[in-house]
Amino acid sequence: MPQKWQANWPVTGADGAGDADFDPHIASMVRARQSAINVLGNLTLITQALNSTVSNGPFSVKMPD
Amino acid sequence: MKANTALALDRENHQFDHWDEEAIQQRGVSLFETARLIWSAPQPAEIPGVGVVTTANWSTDTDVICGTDHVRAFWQRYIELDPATKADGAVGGAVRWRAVPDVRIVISRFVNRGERTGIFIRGPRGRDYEEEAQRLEPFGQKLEALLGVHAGSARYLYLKDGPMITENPSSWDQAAEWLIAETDRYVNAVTKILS
Repeated sequence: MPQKWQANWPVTGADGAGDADFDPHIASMVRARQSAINVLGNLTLITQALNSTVSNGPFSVKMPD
Repeated sequence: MKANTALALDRENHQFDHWDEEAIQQRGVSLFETARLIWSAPQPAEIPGVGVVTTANWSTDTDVICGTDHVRAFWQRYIELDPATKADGAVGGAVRWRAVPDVRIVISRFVNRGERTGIFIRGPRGRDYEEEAQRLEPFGQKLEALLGVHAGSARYLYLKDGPMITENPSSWDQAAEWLIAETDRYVNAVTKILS
């Protein structure tokens, strides 16, 4: 899950709405996603070049079948 | 990423076919378990020649660490001779300590390498050795006078060697009686001086 997850890892229902417009359920999901970014399970060691390449891309690109 | 990363830690990422909060949680738990196995928790204390001991029990004597059969038998005899310890009902191990919680001191008795008995002072579990030595430093002269030994190293304060024990039970009583007397001496000394 990248730092900027909104584009390729959207929370359903949060598209296009400002933070203030989220209903409580959606706001909770957004907060959960945001708080999952810098936890151990979401971190990995890769080269700087590879990190730049995969960047904020979707999972299907980062980990293709 | 599959093609460009060869780290063992990353291999299990390949088992996921999607990535969300649940997958992140799963991988975090898995990585933590790996880390826990590689980097075990800090050992709380170490006794000379014996190794690591577990958490002190402030209310009773506590026995720790598996010893040889004759060491266990020695402690059994020790308990028989020391009513205070007998009341705790603990048997076995190479180390026994007696907490003196009023002055936050632990009197540690040990059998080193299955033969040499001894006694020393340490602080409560988790306390830095140097800090404990500094805490006791102002009382050093009085402690040395009452205990009959110098403070010595911070790790094993006022360490005093006792009689040797062997597999022969005849050696146990002498060592146990020495340890019992020294334990009383140490407890009384720290209580008197530090209270």
